[in-house]
Amino acid sequence: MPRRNEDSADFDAVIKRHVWRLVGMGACLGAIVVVVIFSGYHLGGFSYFCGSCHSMENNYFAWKTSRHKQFACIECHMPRDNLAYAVAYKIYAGIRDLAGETMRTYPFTIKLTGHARAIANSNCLRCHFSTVEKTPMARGNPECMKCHRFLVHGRPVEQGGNRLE
Amino acid sequence: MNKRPFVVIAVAVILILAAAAAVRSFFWKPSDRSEVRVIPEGEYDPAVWGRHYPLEYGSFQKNQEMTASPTDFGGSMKFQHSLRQPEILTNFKGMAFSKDYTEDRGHPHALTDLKESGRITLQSPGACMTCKSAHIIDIYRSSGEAYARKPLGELFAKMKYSITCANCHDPATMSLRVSNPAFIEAMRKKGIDVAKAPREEMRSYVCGQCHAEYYFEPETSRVVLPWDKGLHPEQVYAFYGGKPGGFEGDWVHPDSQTAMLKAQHPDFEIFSAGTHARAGISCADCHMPYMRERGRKYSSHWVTSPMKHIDASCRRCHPEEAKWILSRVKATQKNVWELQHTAGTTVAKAHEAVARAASLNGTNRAELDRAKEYLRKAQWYWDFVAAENSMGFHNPALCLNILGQSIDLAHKAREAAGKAAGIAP
Repeated sequence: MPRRNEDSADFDAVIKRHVWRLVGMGACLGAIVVVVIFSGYHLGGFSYFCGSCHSMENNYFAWKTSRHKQFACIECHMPRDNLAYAVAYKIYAGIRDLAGETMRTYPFTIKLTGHARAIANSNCLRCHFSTVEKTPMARGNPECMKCHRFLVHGRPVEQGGNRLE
Repeated sequence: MNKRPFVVIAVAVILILAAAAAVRSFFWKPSDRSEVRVIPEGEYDPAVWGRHYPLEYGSFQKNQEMTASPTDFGGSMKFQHSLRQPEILTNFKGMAFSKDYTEDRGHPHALTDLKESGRITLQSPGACMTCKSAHIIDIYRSSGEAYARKPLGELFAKMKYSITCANCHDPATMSLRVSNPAFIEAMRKKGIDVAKAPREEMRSYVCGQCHAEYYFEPETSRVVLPWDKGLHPEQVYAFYGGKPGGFEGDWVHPDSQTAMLKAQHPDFEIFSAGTHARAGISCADCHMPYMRERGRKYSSHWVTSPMKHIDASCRRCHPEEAKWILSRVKATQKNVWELQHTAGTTVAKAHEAVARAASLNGTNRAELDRAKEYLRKAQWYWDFVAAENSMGFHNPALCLNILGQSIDLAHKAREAAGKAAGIAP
């Protein structure tokens, strides 16, 4: 049903009368949305949030006893130098993880994708580059985890068997 | 048109999805525990066990599948090995493996494969069923070692199931156990009590109990694993040299008149000195990796080539791409296969050379005996790889080494045979 002209005139009048009130409401709503998004982004960066997923349990507990336990998950697993990339990656990885967790399609062996591997590697170098920069390892694209793959998340054998009770 | 219902529906769908995701992710998580259900001892039907352990059973059922190997070797489809390696017909002449030597098809088919095998008859010794059925447990319990001498046909009547859960699991606790009496005995001689072995070791012992070299002791016909001197093929060969229990060889080759040994799937022996075993990896780590289904963790009971699930098996330790890993395994197997084929054909030629020398008049008997000794060892080393199930991957260095020795020994046998016959080498 097309709106009648009188309705439209009434609508315009109402808008004009309450314009500042509406602007205020919009600003409030916008502020709430911004707060929710930012606090979501922030809370999503806590390691206990990452560890609250079933698929992450092994990796979470291994990290907690590792030599990198003072660093949060995101310090290795999120891009640190480019905010736009970080936001895009977080949205992509978040949706992917949430879908996997909801559908329960995650495998026992969690593996890094190509992007995730490059991100983690760049974060190794973020701290450790000065240690390796004068070594032959630093030539080309050093891939730290080719050798230091068990450093944080432990060896597979440490991830135990099945629990029978 | 009023769009409001669509907006409401869209918002409702998003909210429901978000709620489902939140509930499934954070509140209603899949359990990582399984409850032990006691299954009566003597229950060999895997379907009964499967009712309580559906994930394991589901993967166990995949063993029924008959598929080609992802590499060019192995697989679970029946084919005659002699089609690819005609040297088998010469090297095993005069014994059953020259008549019928097919690829095996996996645990649920073991009993059928035994019954269909052209190598046995109903009068064959009962010892042949030791590793083919879970019924070994009550057959051994009721008749002790005497079962090994009973005719196989008599034991077939008592067997319904192939290799099933009970071969490796205690039905009351689900913990791992070994059911082959020969393996228990062999480990006891090494000072290892398999009933007290740690779980990590049991994860190899349950496989090694059958995937190992053995011989039938003359007189009693019981299965014995020849490990008194060690697991290395050279040590096993030296042990056989001592004629244990009067055992001189599996058969005498009709052409070369040499007492030969037949190696039987020495997977455990080959693997246990390899780099993976030394790193503490068990058979189950690669062949029965942990998987998840509907979020629940279980050990895959689809005992097959790890190349079918590289992500779950190899990539837990090796970060490389699956494609790269498969190409490395294929490269290793190709290297081993080429030498294995060379060794096998050289051994076949040595049989002919020894036979020719023996047929002549005025042959130097001492020299001929030396040729036979070289030949016996050459074939043993070749067969130790050829009868093994990984085309060398379980321990590439050892396999290539003994294949090299096999080729050398086969040439030495030919030289000695020439010398014996008075032909200059």
